[in-house]
Amino acid sequence: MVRRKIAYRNFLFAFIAALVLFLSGLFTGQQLTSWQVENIKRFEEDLRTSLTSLELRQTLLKQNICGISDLGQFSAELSDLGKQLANLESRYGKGDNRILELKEPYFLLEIRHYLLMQEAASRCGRDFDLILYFYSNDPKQCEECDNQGYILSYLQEKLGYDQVKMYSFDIRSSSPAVQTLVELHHVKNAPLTVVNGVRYDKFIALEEIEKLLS
Amino acid sequence: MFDFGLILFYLGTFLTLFLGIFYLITFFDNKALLRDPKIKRFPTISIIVPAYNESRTICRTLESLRALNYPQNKLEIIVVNDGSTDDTYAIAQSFRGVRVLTKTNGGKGSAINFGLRHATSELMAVMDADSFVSRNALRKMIGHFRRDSIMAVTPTLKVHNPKGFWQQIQYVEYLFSVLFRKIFAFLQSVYVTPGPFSIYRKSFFDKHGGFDEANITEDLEIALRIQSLGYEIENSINAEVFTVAPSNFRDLLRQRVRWYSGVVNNMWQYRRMFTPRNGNLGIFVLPVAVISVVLALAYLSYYGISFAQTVADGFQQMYLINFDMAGVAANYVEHFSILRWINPISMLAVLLIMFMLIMFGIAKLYSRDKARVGGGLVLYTFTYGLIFSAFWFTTLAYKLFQLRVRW
Repeated sequence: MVRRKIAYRNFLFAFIAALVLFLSGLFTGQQLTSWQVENIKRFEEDLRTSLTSLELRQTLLKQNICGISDLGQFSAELSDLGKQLANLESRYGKGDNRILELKEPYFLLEIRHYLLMQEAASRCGRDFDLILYFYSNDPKQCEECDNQGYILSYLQEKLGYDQVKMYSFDIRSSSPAVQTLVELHHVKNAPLTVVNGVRYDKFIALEEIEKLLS
Repeated sequence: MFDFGLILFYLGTFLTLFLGIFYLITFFDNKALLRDPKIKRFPTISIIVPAYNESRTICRTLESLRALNYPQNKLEIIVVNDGSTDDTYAIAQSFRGVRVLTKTNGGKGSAINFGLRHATSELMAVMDADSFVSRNALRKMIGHFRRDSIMAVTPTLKVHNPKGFWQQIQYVEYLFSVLFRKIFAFLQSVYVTPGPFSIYRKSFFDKHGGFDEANITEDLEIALRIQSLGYEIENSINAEVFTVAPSNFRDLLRQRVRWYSGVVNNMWQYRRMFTPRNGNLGIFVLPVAVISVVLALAYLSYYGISFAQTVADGFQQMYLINFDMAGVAANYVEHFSILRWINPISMLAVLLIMFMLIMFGIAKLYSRDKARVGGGLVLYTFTYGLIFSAFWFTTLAYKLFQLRVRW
């Protein structure tokens, strides 16, 4: 009967090497996520500065917003920011605190942009569609939100950012500004969509929304 | 929050890294032992060829055995015709220098034991009648019987002339086994002596009985028995033996259900071996074999369900936008971001593929494999896990419903 050996030394070495590699991988992943979060924060900061500049120009022009030619240029950037957030959300889950934190300033940027666009639409007769979309991140509270969001994003992509200005808000946001918007539009349940001022408190299909657009 | 997918993912990643590193260290630690030991003397050997309806392949098998580079007076070839209904018996009889025995059909184990009773040599080899040996295989293997405790020596088993999808993926699978069998030999942990051309000391059977005739994978049982009795099994990476692999799904499924059922039965039968007393085999190789299957099935179930969910969601979304595929594709291209693809799951996939390619390269290099890889490696990479997990699920279904596993 042969005496059987156990390769303790190699087991230990392999374990340590695997642990080092594993932890390096975790650390790299963590760094990559932090880098993405930082990137989004910087993006938000830039957008905030741009919108403040727009608002100041509006004031300087004595409320004559129609004189600002590059008014619409931030729609695509705002939408891009929303996409980056959605991308992070799909990877780390809807309840991830880092993403929830990033969303709050994003909602405020949306409101500021929305107010400027509303002003432009009413004063200068600009021909675009304004959509407010209220959703809930809690799937139990809103089963149809993912589908509604998908249709609206699709429409915006299809018709272009210059034509469709869409702003989406989580009704559970802690931001007082978002809550004011929620109260103003009597939002009780999600999904709720306001297309060019007309309020729909249920899921609306693609064809129905298309009929409402200019 | 308890995230089953995440735990599975971290566990799989760590285990893959650990196993990969451990196997590579073991291989390179023992690289000097890859050469076959020199032959000091030529012992007598009986090669038993159990054959049941093998008329299509037995001719080539016997030709290769007759051409073996070994003193002819030390070599005996015995064909045991296990009640074939085709002309296997007549073909075998047409070969000069081949002893042909015939009996009523009783299965492979019983045919080998029948041959064993007629064999008189010091060593005994089993040779499946659908395989053939390279000319110097026997010379390369014999030297490994350098200690009395070494009871068996296994060759390097490869797929002959792989053609079509099913044989191509088996070719890659077998090449991986070449490397693993050698690594397991370094760890004193070979736990299967394959049907094509494994060589045994005949004294083992005289002392501990022949092959288990009721066992559906008698080559696994005999190896576990040898190990459990405290003997050793060696491997020659240079002794090439070629086998004709199943060429269609039905045959492969049948073969794998038999093999995997045999694994389940024998692991249970030899469960007492999972102890430190059996060295690396007891505390590492056998437990890892079991854990790998369990993890692979858990992965397939979890990610299979996730994938099905994603497909269903995707279909629903397409329905919502009236299947405007062109619009979605254009949007995807416009907003393409590599960051979307950098996630833990894709990283694990890259890690596994890298590890696999390294292992494959080493196996091909050190076993001096000359076959052209072709698309086999790509097919293997993307389908093997799925197909073979499905075979495992089928096997478990057989076990659960107590269906009879056929040869």
